Amino acid sequence: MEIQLKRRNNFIKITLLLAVLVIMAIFAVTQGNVKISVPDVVKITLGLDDSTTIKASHSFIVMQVRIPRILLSLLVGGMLSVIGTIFQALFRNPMADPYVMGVSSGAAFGATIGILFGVGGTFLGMGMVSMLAFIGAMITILCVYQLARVGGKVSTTGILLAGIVINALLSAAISFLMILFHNEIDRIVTWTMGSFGAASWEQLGLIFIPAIVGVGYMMTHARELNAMVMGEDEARALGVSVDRLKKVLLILASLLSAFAVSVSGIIGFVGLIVPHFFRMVFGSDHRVLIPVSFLGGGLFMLVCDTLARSLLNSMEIPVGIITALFGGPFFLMLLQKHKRRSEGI
Amino acid sequence: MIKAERINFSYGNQNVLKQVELAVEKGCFISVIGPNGSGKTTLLKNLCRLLQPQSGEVKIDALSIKAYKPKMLAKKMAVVHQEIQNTFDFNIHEVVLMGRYPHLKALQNESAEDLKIVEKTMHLTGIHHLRHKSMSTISGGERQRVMIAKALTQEPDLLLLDEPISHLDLKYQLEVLKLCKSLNREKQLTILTTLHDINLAARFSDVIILMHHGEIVKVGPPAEVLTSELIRNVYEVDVTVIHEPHLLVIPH
Ligand SMILES: Nc1ncnc2c1ncn2[C@@H]1O[C@H](COP(=O)(O)OP(=O)(O)OP(=O)(O)O)[C@@H](O)[C@H]1O
Ligand SMILES: [Mg+2]
Repeated sequence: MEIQLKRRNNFIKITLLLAVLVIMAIFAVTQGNVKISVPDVVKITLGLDDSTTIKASHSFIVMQVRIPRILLSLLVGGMLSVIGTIFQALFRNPMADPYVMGVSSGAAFGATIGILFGVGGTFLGMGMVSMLAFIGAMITILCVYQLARVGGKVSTTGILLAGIVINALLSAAISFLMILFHNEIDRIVTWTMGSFGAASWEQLGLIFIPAIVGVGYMMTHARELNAMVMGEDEARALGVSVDRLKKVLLILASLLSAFAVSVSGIIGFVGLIVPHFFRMVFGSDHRVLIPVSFLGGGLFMLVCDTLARSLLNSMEIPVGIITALFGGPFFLMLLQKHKRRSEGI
Repeated sequence: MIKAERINFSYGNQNVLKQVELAVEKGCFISVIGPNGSGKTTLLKNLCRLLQPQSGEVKIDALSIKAYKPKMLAKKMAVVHQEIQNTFDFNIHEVVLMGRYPHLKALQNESAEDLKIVEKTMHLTGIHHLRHKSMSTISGGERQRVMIAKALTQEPDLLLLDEPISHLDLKYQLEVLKLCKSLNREKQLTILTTLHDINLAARFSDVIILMHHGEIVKVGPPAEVLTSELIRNVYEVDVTVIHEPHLLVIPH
Protein backbone atom coordinates (compact mmCIF):
# COMPACT_ATOMS: atom_id res chain seq x y z
CA MET A 1 0.00 0.00 0.00
CA GLU A 2 2.55 2.50 1.24
CA ILE A 3 4.97 1.62 -1.49
CA GLN A 4 2.32 2.08 -4.16
CA LEU A 5 1.55 5.49 -2.73
CA LYS A 6 5.22 6.35 -2.81
CA ARG A 7 5.57 5.17 -6.38
CA ARG A 8 2.59 7.28 -7.41
CA ASN A 9 3.98 10.29 -5.60
CA ASN A 10 7.31 9.88 -7.35
CA PHE A 11 5.54 9.49 -10.65
CA ILE A 12 3.68 12.76 -10.10
CA LYS A 13 6.87 14.57 -9.11
CA ILE A 14 8.72 13.28 -12.16
CA THR A 15 5.87 14.32 -14.45
CA LEU A 16 5.90 17.78 -12.90
CA LEU A 17 9.65 18.02 -13.40
CA LEU A 18 9.24 17.05 -17.03
CA ALA A 19 6.50 19.63 -17.53
CA VAL A 20 8.63 22.40 -16.00
CA LEU A 21 11.48 21.30 -18.21
CA VAL A 22 9.42 21.56 -21.40
CA ILE A 23 8.02 24.98 -20.45
CA MET A 24 11.48 26.26 -19.55
CA ALA A 25 12.89 24.96 -22.82
CA ILE A 26 10.24 26.81 -24.85
CA PHE A 27 10.80 29.94 -22.82
CA ALA A 28 14.55 29.65 -23.35
CA VAL A 29 14.10 29.61 -27.12
CA THR A 30 12.44 33.03 -26.94
CA GLN A 31 15.27 34.52 -24.90
CA GLY A 32 18.52 36.02 -26.13
CA ASN A 33 19.80 39.09 -27.91
CA VAL A 34 16.93 38.83 -30.34
CA LYS A 35 13.62 38.26 -28.57
CA ILE A 36 11.28 35.97 -30.46
CA SER A 37 7.66 35.50 -29.41
CA VAL A 38 6.29 32.16 -28.24
CA PRO A 39 3.78 31.80 -31.13
CA ASP A 40 6.58 32.44 -33.62
CA VAL A 41 8.77 29.87 -31.91
CA VAL A 42 5.98 27.31 -32.06
CA LYS A 43 5.31 28.07 -35.71
CA ILE A 44 8.98 27.82 -36.64
CA THR A 45 9.58 24.56 -34.82
CA LEU A 46 6.47 22.99 -36.31
CA GLY A 47 7.54 24.13 -39.78
CA LEU A 48 4.52 26.41 -40.20
CA ASP A 49 6.58 29.53 -40.85
CA ASP A 50 5.66 31.39 -44.00
CA SER A 51 8.28 33.93 -44.90
CA THR A 52 5.67 36.71 -45.01
CA THR A 53 5.18 36.88 -41.24
CA ILE A 54 8.41 35.49 -39.86
CA LYS A 55 11.85 36.76 -40.69
CA ALA A 56 14.24 34.21 -42.19
CA SER A 57 16.86 35.26 -39.68
CA HIS A 58 14.49 34.31 -36.87
CA SER A 59 13.96 30.83 -38.27
CA PHE A 60 17.67 30.45 -38.56
CA ILE A 61 18.28 31.57 -34.98
CA VAL A 62 15.62 29.24 -33.64
CA MET A 63 16.46 26.16 -35.68
CA GLN A 64 20.22 26.38 -36.06
CA VAL A 65 21.34 28.24 -32.95
CA ARG A 66 18.97 28.11 -30.03
CA ILE A 67 17.33 24.71 -30.29
CA PRO A 68 20.55 22.74 -30.71
CA ARG A 69 22.08 24.77 -27.91
CA ILE A 70 19.15 24.15 -25.57
CA LEU A 71 19.07 20.44 -26.34
CA LEU A 72 22.82 20.21 -25.84
CA SER A 73 22.67 21.96 -22.47
CA LEU A 74 19.83 19.67 -21.37
CA LEU A 75 21.76 16.59 -22.42
CA VAL A 76 25.09 17.65 -20.92
CA GLY A 77 23.45 18.77 -17.67
CA GLY A 78 21.60 15.48 -17.41
CA MET A 79 24.70 13.43 -18.21
CA LEU A 80 26.91 15.23 -15.71
CA SER A 81 24.33 14.82 -12.96
CA VAL A 82 23.85 11.13 -13.59
CA ILE A 83 27.61 10.59 -13.75
CA GLY A 84 27.96 12.41 -10.42
CA THR A 85 25.24 10.21 -8.93
CA ILE A 86 27.01 7.07 -10.13
CA PHE A 87 30.44 8.10 -8.85
CA GLN A 88 29.07 9.14 -5.48
CA ALA A 89 27.46 5.73 -5.13
CA LEU A 90 30.44 3.73 -6.38
CA PHE A 91 32.91 5.58 -4.17
CA ARG A 92 30.42 5.92 -1.31
CA ASN A 93 31.73 9.45 -1.17
CA PRO A 94 29.53 12.53 -1.24
CA MET A 95 32.43 14.60 -2.62
CA ALA A 96 32.78 12.61 -5.82
CA ASP A 97 31.90 14.46 -9.02
CA PRO A 98 32.05 13.56 -12.72
CA TYR A 99 35.70 14.55 -12.84
CA VAL A 100 37.07 12.26 -10.11
CA MET A 101 39.02 10.22 -12.61
CA GLY A 102 40.91 13.25 -13.83
CA VAL A 103 38.67 13.90 -16.82
CA SER A 104 38.58 17.66 -16.30
CA SER A 105 42.29 18.30 -16.13
CA GLY A 106 43.03 15.75 -18.85
CA ALA A 107 40.56 17.44 -21.16
CA ALA A 108 41.78 20.91 -20.22
CA PHE A 109 45.33 19.86 -20.95
CA GLY A 110 44.34 18.50 -24.34
CA ALA A 111 42.37 21.65 -25.13
CA THR A 112 45.23 23.89 -24.01
CA ILE A 113 47.59 22.12 -26.36
CA GLY A 114 45.05 22.52 -29.15
CA ILE A 115 44.58 26.23 -28.47
CA LEU A 116 48.30 26.99 -28.11
CA PHE A 117 49.32 25.22 -31.26
CA GLY A 118 46.41 26.72 -33.13
CA VAL A 119 45.23 23.46 -34.59
CA GLY A 120 42.22 24.12 -36.76
CA GLY A 121 39.79 22.07 -38.77
CA THR A 122 37.19 19.65 -37.66
CA PHE A 123 36.96 15.92 -37.23
CA LEU A 124 33.62 14.10 -37.20
CA GLY A 125 31.92 17.43 -36.68
CA MET A 126 34.03 18.19 -33.66
CA GLY A 127 36.51 21.02 -33.59
CA MET A 128 40.12 19.90 -33.19
CA VAL A 129 40.28 21.52 -29.77
CA SER A 130 37.33 19.40 -28.64
CA MET A 131 38.92 16.35 -30.18
CA LEU A 132 42.16 16.95 -28.29
CA ALA A 133 40.19 17.53 -25.11
CA PHE A 134 38.49 14.18 -25.60
CA ILE A 135 41.81 12.44 -26.22
CA GLY A 136 43.36 14.11 -23.19
CA ALA A 137 40.46 12.98 -21.03
CA MET A 138 40.67 9.40 -22.29
CA ILE A 139 44.41 9.16 -21.64
CA THR A 140 43.94 10.46 -18.10
CA ILE A 141 41.13 8.01 -17.39
CA LEU A 142 43.31 5.14 -18.54
CA CYS A 143 46.23 6.32 -16.40
CA VAL A 144 44.12 6.75 -13.27
CA TYR A 145 42.45 3.40 -13.85
CA GLN A 146 45.76 1.61 -14.33
CA LEU A 147 47.29 3.28 -11.29
CA ALA A 148 44.38 2.18 -9.10
CA ARG A 149 44.37 -1.42 -10.28
CA VAL A 150 45.75 -4.08 -8.02
CA GLY A 151 45.68 -7.62 -9.38
CA GLY A 152 42.57 -7.39 -11.55
CA LYS A 153 40.59 -5.34 -9.04
CA VAL A 154 40.19 -1.59 -8.86
CA SER A 155 40.34 0.02 -5.47
CA THR A 156 38.05 2.99 -5.10
CA THR A 157 40.36 4.75 -2.66
CA GLY A 158 43.14 4.17 -5.17
CA ILE A 159 41.09 5.90 -7.87
CA LEU A 160 40.31 8.90 -5.68
CA LEU A 161 43.95 9.34 -4.78
CA ALA A 162 45.32 8.77 -8.27
CA GLY A 163 42.67 11.14 -9.62
CA ILE A 164 43.64 13.89 -7.22
CA VAL A 165 47.34 13.51 -7.94
CA ILE A 166 46.90 13.48 -11.73
CA ASN A 167 44.56 16.46 -11.48
CA ALA A 168 47.14 18.43 -9.53
CA LEU A 169 49.90 17.42 -11.90
CA LEU A 170 48.06 18.41 -15.04
CA SER A 171 46.71 21.62 -13.53
CA ALA A 172 50.26 22.63 -12.73
CA ALA A 173 51.30 21.82 -16.28
CA ILE A 174 48.43 23.92 -17.65
CA SER A 175 49.33 26.86 -15.42
CA PHE A 176 52.90 26.60 -16.60
CA LEU A 177 51.82 26.65 -20.23
CA MET A 178 49.61 29.65 -19.53
CA ILE A 179 52.53 31.55 -18.06
CA LEU A 180 54.70 30.69 -21.03
CA PHE A 181 52.07 31.69 -23.57
CA HIS A 182 50.21 34.42 -21.74
CA ASN A 183 48.52 35.95 -24.75
CA GLU A 184 46.32 32.84 -25.07
CA ILE A 185 45.27 32.85 -21.43
CA ASP A 186 41.78 34.20 -22.19
CA ARG A 187 40.83 31.40 -24.51
CA ILE A 188 42.15 28.72 -22.20
CA VAL A 189 40.41 30.15 -19.16
CA THR A 190 37.15 30.51 -21.04
CA TRP A 191 37.38 26.92 -22.15
CA THR A 192 37.98 25.68 -18.61
CA MET A 193 34.84 27.42 -17.40
CA GLY A 194 32.58 25.84 -19.93
CA SER A 195 30.30 27.18 -22.63
CA PHE A 196 27.63 26.01 -25.03
CA GLY A 197 28.50 28.83 -27.41
CA ALA A 198 29.60 26.46 -30.15
CA ALA A 199 26.56 24.18 -29.91
CA SER A 200 25.43 22.65 -33.18
CA TRP A 201 23.34 19.77 -34.43
CA GLU A 202 26.60 17.93 -35.20
CA GLN A 203 27.77 18.16 -31.60
CA LEU A 204 24.38 17.03 -30.42
CA GLY A 205 24.45 14.09 -32.81
CA LEU A 206 27.87 13.14 -31.56
CA ILE A 207 26.98 12.79 -27.91
CA PHE A 208 23.31 11.86 -28.16
CA ILE A 209 23.77 8.13 -28.63
CA PRO A 210 26.54 7.68 -26.03
CA ALA A 211 24.50 9.70 -23.54
CA ILE A 212 21.26 7.79 -23.99
CA VAL A 213 22.86 4.37 -24.13
CA GLY A 214 25.11 5.16 -21.15
CA VAL A 215 22.43 6.63 -18.94
CA GLY A 216 20.05 3.84 -19.94
CA TYR A 217 22.60 1.23 -18.94
CA MET A 218 23.18 2.94 -15.61
CA MET A 219 19.46 3.06 -14.99
CA THR A 220 19.18 -0.70 -15.45
CA HIS A 221 21.76 -1.15 -12.69
CA ALA A 222 20.08 1.10 -10.16
CA ARG A 223 19.30 -1.71 -7.75
CA GLU A 224 22.91 -2.87 -7.75
CA LEU A 225 24.01 0.68 -7.00
CA ASN A 226 21.69 0.77 -4.01
CA ALA A 227 23.39 -2.32 -2.68
CA MET A 228 26.83 -0.84 -3.40
CA VAL A 229 26.04 2.17 -1.24
CA MET A 230 25.60 -0.19 1.70
CA GLY A 231 29.18 -1.34 1.19
CA GLU A 232 30.91 -3.65 -1.24
CA ASP A 233 30.71 -6.61 1.13
CA GLU A 234 26.98 -6.12 1.56
CA ALA A 235 26.53 -5.93 -2.18
CA ARG A 236 28.49 -9.15 -2.64
CA ALA A 237 26.43 -10.87 0.02
CA LEU A 238 23.32 -9.91 -1.92
CA GLY A 239 24.66 -11.47 -5.09
CA VAL A 240 25.89 -8.39 -6.94
CA SER A 241 28.91 -9.00 -9.19
CA VAL A 242 30.72 -6.12 -7.55
CA ASP A 243 34.03 -6.16 -9.40
CA ARG A 244 32.48 -6.34 -12.84
CA LEU A 245 29.88 -3.69 -12.05
CA LYS A 246 32.53 -1.35 -10.71
CA LYS A 247 34.75 -1.72 -13.76
CA VAL A 248 31.97 -1.26 -16.27
CA LEU A 249 30.42 1.72 -14.54
CA LEU A 250 33.72 3.46 -13.86
CA ILE A 251 34.74 3.22 -17.48
CA LEU A 252 31.32 4.06 -18.86
CA ALA A 253 30.79 7.05 -16.58
CA SER A 254 34.19 8.58 -17.23
CA LEU A 255 33.78 8.00 -20.95
CA LEU A 256 30.52 9.92 -20.81
CA SER A 257 32.11 12.75 -18.88
CA ALA A 258 34.84 12.92 -21.51
CA PHE A 259 32.14 13.30 -24.17
CA ALA A 260 30.41 16.00 -22.14
CA VAL A 261 33.61 17.93 -21.55
CA SER A 262 34.65 17.78 -25.16
CA VAL A 263 31.49 19.55 -26.36
CA SER A 264 31.11 22.09 -23.58
CA GLY A 265 34.35 22.48 -21.66
CA ILE A 266 34.52 21.94 -17.94
CA ILE A 267 31.31 22.81 -16.19
CA GLY A 268 31.79 22.29 -12.51
CA PHE A 269 29.35 21.93 -9.70
CA VAL A 270 26.37 20.49 -11.57
CA GLY A 271 27.46 16.87 -11.18
CA LEU A 272 28.22 17.46 -7.54
CA ILE A 273 25.13 19.20 -6.24
CA VAL A 274 22.28 18.00 -8.42
CA PRO A 275 22.53 14.42 -7.09
CA HIS A 276 22.60 15.69 -3.51
CA PHE A 277 19.68 17.96 -4.14
CA PHE A 278 17.52 15.12 -5.41
CA ARG A 279 18.73 12.75 -2.71
CA MET A 280 17.23 15.21 -0.23
CA VAL A 281 13.99 15.43 -2.15
CA PHE A 282 13.49 11.84 -3.32
CA GLY A 283 15.73 9.72 -1.09
CA SER A 284 18.65 7.54 -2.08
CA ASP A 285 16.91 4.89 -4.18
CA HIS A 286 18.77 4.98 -7.49
CA ARG A 287 15.80 3.69 -9.40
CA VAL A 288 14.28 7.11 -8.83
CA LEU A 289 17.44 9.10 -8.30
CA ILE A 290 19.00 8.40 -11.70
CA PRO A 291 16.04 9.49 -13.86
CA VAL A 292 15.30 12.57 -11.74
CA SER A 293 18.97 13.56 -11.70
CA PHE A 294 18.96 13.32 -15.47
CA LEU A 295 15.89 15.51 -15.87
CA GLY A 296 16.77 17.86 -13.03
CA GLY A 297 20.39 18.23 -14.07
CA GLY A 298 19.26 19.07 -17.58
CA LEU A 299 16.81 21.63 -16.29
CA PHE A 300 19.41 23.23 -14.03
CA MET A 301 21.91 23.48 -16.87
CA LEU A 302 19.29 24.92 -19.22
CA VAL A 303 18.44 27.66 -16.74
CA CYS A 304 22.12 28.44 -16.13
CA ASP A 305 22.93 28.55 -19.82
CA THR A 306 19.95 30.77 -20.58
CA LEU A 307 21.19 33.17 -17.91
CA ALA A 308 24.73 32.86 -19.26
CA ARG A 309 23.70 34.06 -22.71
CA SER A 310 21.15 36.69 -21.75
CA LEU A 311 22.36 38.35 -18.53
CA LEU A 312 24.87 40.62 -20.21
CA ASN A 313 24.06 42.23 -23.52
CA SER A 314 27.63 42.68 -24.63
CA MET A 315 28.97 39.22 -24.04
CA GLU A 316 28.27 35.67 -22.90
CA ILE A 317 29.24 34.60 -19.40
CA PRO A 318 30.91 31.17 -19.24
CA VAL A 319 28.19 28.85 -17.96
CA GLY A 320 30.47 27.30 -15.33
CA ILE A 321 30.51 30.64 -13.55
CA ILE A 322 26.73 30.74 -13.42
CA THR A 323 26.37 27.16 -12.17
CA ALA A 324 28.63 27.93 -9.22
CA LEU A 325 27.55 31.51 -8.57
CA PHE A 326 23.82 30.81 -8.57
CA GLY A 327 23.75 27.13 -7.74
CA GLY A 328 26.09 27.41 -4.76
CA PRO A 329 24.09 29.70 -2.48
CA PHE A 330 20.85 27.97 -3.43
CA PHE A 331 22.33 24.63 -2.51
CA LEU A 332 23.73 25.90 0.79
CA MET A 333 20.34 27.28 1.70
CA LEU A 334 18.73 23.96 1.00
CA LEU A 335 21.40 22.13 2.98
CA GLN A 336 20.74 24.30 6.02
CA LYS A 337 17.02 23.75 5.77
CA HIS A 338 17.44 20.03 5.38
CA LYS A 339 19.82 19.85 8.32
CA ARG A 340 17.39 21.72 10.52
CA ARG A 341 14.58 19.46 9.54
CA SER A 342 16.51 16.28 10.21
CA GLU A 343 17.66 17.63 13.55
CA GLY A 344 14.08 18.47 14.35
CA ILE A 345 14.62 22.19 14.85
CA MET B 1 25.20 -28.13 3.87
CA ILE B 2 28.46 -26.21 4.07
CA LYS B 3 31.89 -27.69 4.34
CA ALA B 4 35.39 -26.32 4.68
CA GLU B 5 38.06 -28.69 3.49
CA ARG B 6 41.42 -27.89 5.02
CA ILE B 7 41.37 -24.22 4.23
CA ASN B 8 44.40 -22.04 4.78
CA PHE B 9 44.14 -18.32 4.61
CA SER B 10 46.64 -15.56 5.19
CA TYR B 11 46.59 -11.79 5.00
CA GLY B 12 49.94 -11.05 3.39
CA ASN B 13 52.30 -13.31 5.30
CA GLN B 14 50.21 -13.54 8.46
CA ASN B 15 48.70 -17.00 8.49
CA VAL B 16 45.23 -16.50 9.94
CA LEU B 17 43.46 -19.78 9.19
CA LYS B 18 45.42 -22.99 9.49
CA GLN B 19 44.08 -26.22 8.04
CA VAL B 20 40.54 -25.46 9.10
CA GLU B 21 38.15 -28.39 8.69
CA LEU B 22 34.47 -27.94 9.21
CA ALA B 23 31.22 -29.63 8.21
CA VAL B 24 27.85 -28.15 9.00
CA GLU B 25 24.77 -30.32 8.69
CA LYS B 26 21.49 -28.91 7.46
CA GLY B 27 19.33 -27.59 10.28
CA CYS B 28 22.20 -27.20 12.71
CA PHE B 29 22.79 -24.23 15.01
CA ILE B 30 26.51 -23.66 15.35
CA SER B 31 28.42 -21.03 17.27
CA VAL B 32 32.03 -20.10 16.70
CA ILE B 33 33.78 -18.79 19.77
CA GLY B 34 37.35 -17.75 20.45
CA PRO B 35 39.38 -14.78 21.65
CA ASN B 36 39.75 -11.54 19.68
CA GLY B 37 41.87 -12.05 16.61
CA SER B 38 41.50 -15.82 16.64
CA GLY B 39 40.16 -15.79 13.09
CA LYS B 40 36.38 -16.05 13.48
CA THR B 41 35.51 -13.22 11.12
CA THR B 42 38.12 -14.44 8.66
CA LEU B 43 36.61 -17.91 8.74
CA LEU B 44 33.14 -16.51 8.05
CA LYS B 45 34.41 -14.42 5.17
CA ASN B 46 36.03 -17.49 3.67
CA LEU B 47 32.79 -19.40 4.02
CA CYS B 48 30.82 -16.76 2.11
CA ARG B 49 33.45 -16.23 -0.61
CA LEU B 50 34.34 -12.70 0.42
CA LEU B 51 37.83 -14.04 0.87
CA GLN B 52 39.31 -16.93 -1.05
CA PRO B 53 41.47 -19.43 0.82
CA GLN B 54 44.99 -19.86 -0.51
CA SER B 55 44.50 -23.60 -0.30
CA GLY B 56 41.65 -25.92 0.51
CA GLU B 57 38.07 -25.53 -0.59
CA VAL B 58 34.66 -24.48 0.64
CA LYS B 59 31.75 -26.57 -0.57
CA ILE B 60 28.06 -25.91 -0.38
CA ASP B 61 25.79 -28.88 -0.94
CA ALA B 62 28.81 -30.81 -2.20
CA LEU B 63 29.49 -28.22 -4.90
CA SER B 64 32.50 -25.93 -4.76
CA ILE B 65 31.50 -22.43 -3.71
CA LYS B 66 33.42 -21.08 -6.70
CA ALA B 67 30.90 -22.70 -9.02
CA TYR B 68 27.98 -20.64 -7.73
CA LYS B 69 26.72 -17.61 -9.59
CA PRO B 70 26.49 -14.58 -7.27
CA LYS B 71 22.70 -14.54 -7.11
CA MET B 72 22.52 -18.31 -6.68
CA LEU B 73 24.82 -18.07 -3.72
CA ALA B 74 22.84 -15.20 -2.24
CA LYS B 75 19.70 -17.32 -2.35
CA LYS B 76 21.50 -20.16 -0.56
CA MET B 77 23.16 -18.09 2.08
CA ALA B 78 22.85 -14.71 3.70
CA VAL B 79 25.51 -12.95 5.74
CA VAL B 80 25.29 -10.37 8.48
CA HIS B 81 28.64 -8.66 8.88
CA GLN B 82 30.25 -7.36 12.02
CA GLU B 83 30.58 -3.79 10.75
CA ILE B 84 27.94 -1.78 8.96
CA GLN B 85 28.73 1.13 6.69
CA ASN B 86 26.34 3.50 5.04
CA THR B 87 27.13 6.81 3.40
CA PHE B 88 23.83 7.87 1.95
CA ASP B 89 20.60 7.52 3.74
CA PHE B 90 18.19 4.77 2.94
CA ASN B 91 15.17 4.24 5.07
CA ILE B 92 14.77 0.94 6.89
CA HIS B 93 12.14 -0.36 4.53
CA GLU B 94 14.39 0.24 1.53
CA VAL B 95 17.28 -1.55 3.19
CA VAL B 96 15.26 -4.61 4.12
CA LEU B 97 13.76 -4.66 0.64
CA MET B 98 17.26 -4.98 -0.83
CA GLY B 99 17.24 -8.51 0.55
CA ARG B 100 14.92 -9.48 -2.29
CA TYR B 101 17.60 -8.59 -4.87
CA PRO B 102 18.83 -12.14 -5.51
CA HIS B 103 15.28 -13.27 -6.21
CA LEU B 104 14.53 -10.61 -8.79
CA LYS B 105 15.49 -10.47 -12.42
CA ALA B 106 17.05 -7.31 -13.78
CA LEU B 107 14.45 -4.53 -13.94
CA GLN B 108 11.79 -6.69 -12.32
CA ASN B 109 9.77 -4.78 -9.75
CA GLU B 110 9.11 -6.25 -6.33
CA SER B 111 5.83 -8.14 -6.29
CA ALA B 112 3.20 -8.04 -3.55
CA GLU B 113 4.67 -11.34 -2.40
CA ASP B 114 8.12 -9.77 -1.98
CA LEU B 115 6.66 -6.89 -0.01
CA LYS B 116 4.84 -9.34 2.25
CA ILE B 117 8.11 -11.09 3.04
CA VAL B 118 9.66 -7.75 3.91
CA GLU B 119 6.77 -6.92 6.25
CA LYS B 120 7.13 -10.30 7.92
CA THR B 121 10.86 -10.06 8.58
CA MET B 122 10.49 -6.51 9.88
CA HIS B 123 7.91 -7.75 12.37
CA LEU B 124 10.05 -10.74 13.35
CA THR B 125 13.05 -8.54 14.13
CA GLY B 126 11.00 -5.90 15.91
CA ILE B 127 11.82 -3.03 13.54
CA HIS B 128 8.49 -2.61 11.80
CA HIS B 129 7.67 0.58 13.67
CA LEU B 130 10.98 2.07 12.45
CA ARG B 131 10.40 1.41 8.76
CA HIS B 132 10.13 5.07 7.74
CA LYS B 133 13.20 6.17 9.66
CA SER B 134 16.54 6.49 7.96
CA MET B 135 19.57 4.36 8.77
CA SER B 136 21.44 7.28 10.28
CA THR B 137 18.75 8.10 12.80
CA ILE B 138 18.44 4.74 14.54
CA SER B 139 20.56 3.16 17.25
CA GLY B 140 23.38 0.68 16.71
CA GLY B 141 21.28 -2.19 17.98
CA GLU B 142 18.37 -1.25 15.76
CA ARG B 143 20.72 -1.07 12.81
CA GLN B 144 21.96 -4.55 13.61
CA ARG B 145 18.40 -5.84 13.62
CA VAL B 146 17.78 -4.14 10.28
CA MET B 147 20.72 -6.00 8.81
CA ILE B 148 19.40 -9.26 10.22
CA ALA B 149 15.99 -8.51 8.74
CA LYS B 150 17.61 -7.87 5.36
CA ALA B 151 19.46 -11.21 5.57
CA LEU B 152 16.24 -13.05 6.45
CA THR B 153 14.48 -11.35 3.55
CA GLN B 154 16.88 -13.20 1.26
CA GLU B 155 15.14 -16.39 2.45
CA PRO B 156 18.40 -18.31 2.60
CA ASP B 157 18.95 -21.92 3.65
CA LEU B 158 22.02 -20.89 5.58
CA LEU B 159 22.56 -17.80 7.67
CA LEU B 160 26.04 -16.63 8.65
CA LEU B 161 26.17 -14.07 11.43
CA ASP B 162 29.22 -12.25 12.74
CA GLU B 163 28.66 -11.03 16.31
CA PRO B 164 24.98 -10.41 15.64
CA ILE B 165 24.24 -9.37 19.20
CA SER B 166 27.26 -7.23 19.99
CA HIS B 167 25.27 -3.97 20.01
CA LEU B 168 22.04 -5.33 21.41
CA ASP B 169 20.54 -4.79 24.82
CA LEU B 170 19.70 -7.72 27.07
CA LYS B 171 16.20 -8.08 25.71
CA TYR B 172 17.18 -8.09 22.06
CA GLN B 173 20.22 -10.31 22.62
CA LEU B 174 17.76 -12.96 23.68
CA GLU B 175 15.10 -11.99 21.15
CA VAL B 176 17.47 -12.21 18.21
CA LEU B 177 18.96 -15.51 19.30
CA LYS B 178 15.50 -16.89 20.04
CA LEU B 179 14.36 -15.77 16.62
CA CYS B 180 17.34 -17.53 15.03
CA LYS B 181 16.60 -20.60 17.09
CA SER B 182 12.94 -20.72 16.12
CA LEU B 183 13.75 -20.25 12.43
CA ASN B 184 16.33 -22.93 12.89
CA ARG B 185 13.83 -25.37 14.42
CA GLU B 186 10.77 -24.54 12.36
CA LYS B 187 12.19 -23.64 8.97
CA GLN B 188 15.31 -25.79 9.09
CA LEU B 189 17.39 -22.66 8.62
CA THR B 190 21.00 -23.61 9.21
CA ILE B 191 22.78 -21.09 11.39
CA LEU B 192 26.44 -20.41 11.90
CA THR B 193 27.21 -17.50 14.15
CA THR B 194 30.19 -16.09 15.97
CA LEU B 195 29.47 -15.13 19.56
CA HIS B 196 31.48 -13.66 22.38
CA ASP B 197 29.05 -14.62 25.10
CA ILE B 198 29.97 -18.19 25.97
CA ASN B 199 26.88 -18.74 28.07
CA LEU B 200 24.52 -17.68 25.32
CA ALA B 201 26.47 -19.86 22.90
CA ALA B 202 26.04 -22.77 25.27
CA ARG B 203 22.35 -22.16 25.65
CA PHE B 204 21.44 -21.84 21.99
CA SER B 205 23.89 -23.96 20.00
CA ASP B 206 23.80 -27.58 19.00
CA VAL B 207 27.50 -27.44 18.29
CA ILE B 208 30.24 -25.05 19.40
CA ILE B 209 33.47 -24.47 17.51
CA LEU B 210 36.30 -23.14 19.63
CA MET B 211 39.01 -21.26 17.73
CA HIS B 212 42.43 -20.19 18.84
CA HIS B 213 45.22 -18.67 16.74
CA GLY B 214 43.50 -19.61 13.50
CA GLU B 215 43.01 -23.22 14.40
CA ILE B 216 39.94 -25.11 15.48
CA VAL B 217 40.76 -26.36 18.95
CA LYS B 218 37.60 -28.30 19.55
CA VAL B 219 34.24 -28.99 17.91
CA GLY B 220 31.31 -30.57 19.69
CA PRO B 221 28.23 -30.12 21.81
CA PRO B 222 28.55 -27.31 24.38
CA ALA B 223 29.23 -29.64 27.28
CA GLU B 224 32.24 -31.16 25.51
CA VAL B 225 33.78 -27.87 24.37
CA LEU B 226 33.20 -25.70 27.38
CA THR B 227 35.45 -27.31 29.93
CA SER B 228 37.39 -25.24 32.41
CA GLU B 229 40.61 -26.74 31.06
CA LEU B 230 40.02 -25.78 27.42
CA ILE B 231 38.82 -22.32 28.35
CA ARG B 232 41.89 -21.73 30.47
CA ASN B 233 44.14 -22.83 27.62
CA VAL B 234 42.45 -20.62 25.07
CA TYR B 235 41.30 -17.53 26.96
CA GLU B 236 43.87 -17.64 29.78
CA VAL B 237 41.09 -17.20 32.29
CA ASP B 238 40.19 -19.50 35.17
CA VAL B 239 36.55 -20.48 35.19
CA THR B 240 34.13 -22.76 36.95
CA VAL B 241 31.74 -24.68 34.74
CA ILE B 242 28.38 -25.61 36.24
CA HIS B 243 26.21 -28.20 34.50
CA GLU B 244 23.00 -27.97 36.50
CA PRO B 245 20.34 -26.64 35.91
CA HIS B 246 22.01 -25.77 32.66
CA LEU B 247 25.55 -25.19 31.48
CA LEU B 248 27.04 -22.01 32.92
CA VAL B 249 30.60 -20.71 32.71
CA ILE B 250 31.59 -18.44 35.58
CA PRO B 251 34.93 -16.63 35.41
CA HIS B 252 36.85 -16.38 38.69
N1 LIG C 1 42.15 -6.97 6.46
C1 LIG C 1 43.10 -7.51 7.22
N2 LIG C 1 44.39 -7.35 6.87
C2 LIG C 1 45.38 -7.91 7.62
N3 LIG C 1 45.17 -8.61 8.74
C3 LIG C 1 43.91 -8.79 9.16
C4 LIG C 1 42.81 -8.25 8.41
N4 LIG C 1 41.67 -8.57 9.05
C5 LIG C 1 42.04 -9.29 10.14
N5 LIG C 1 43.38 -9.43 10.20
C6 LIG C 1 44.13 -10.18 11.22
O1 LIG C 1 43.68 -11.51 11.19
C7 LIG C 1 43.54 -12.03 12.49
C8 LIG C 1 42.16 -12.61 12.67
O2 LIG C 1 41.22 -11.56 12.55
P1 LIG C 1 39.66 -11.82 12.64
O3 LIG C 1 38.99 -10.56 12.30
O4 LIG C 1 39.31 -13.03 11.86
O5 LIG C 1 39.48 -12.12 14.20
P2 LIG C 1 38.16 -12.38 15.02
O6 LIG C 1 38.29 -13.72 15.63
O7 LIG C 1 36.96 -12.14 14.21
O8 LIG C 1 38.29 -11.28 16.17
P3 LIG C 1 37.15 -10.45 16.93
O9 LIG C 1 36.69 -11.31 18.05
O10 LIG C 1 37.88 -9.27 17.45
O11 LIG C 1 36.08 -10.10 15.97
C9 LIG C 1 43.85 -10.90 13.45
O12 LIG C 1 45.14 -11.12 13.96
C10 LIG C 1 43.83 -9.66 12.60
O13 LIG C 1 44.80 -8.77 13.04
MG1 LIG D 1 35.44 -10.67 14.24
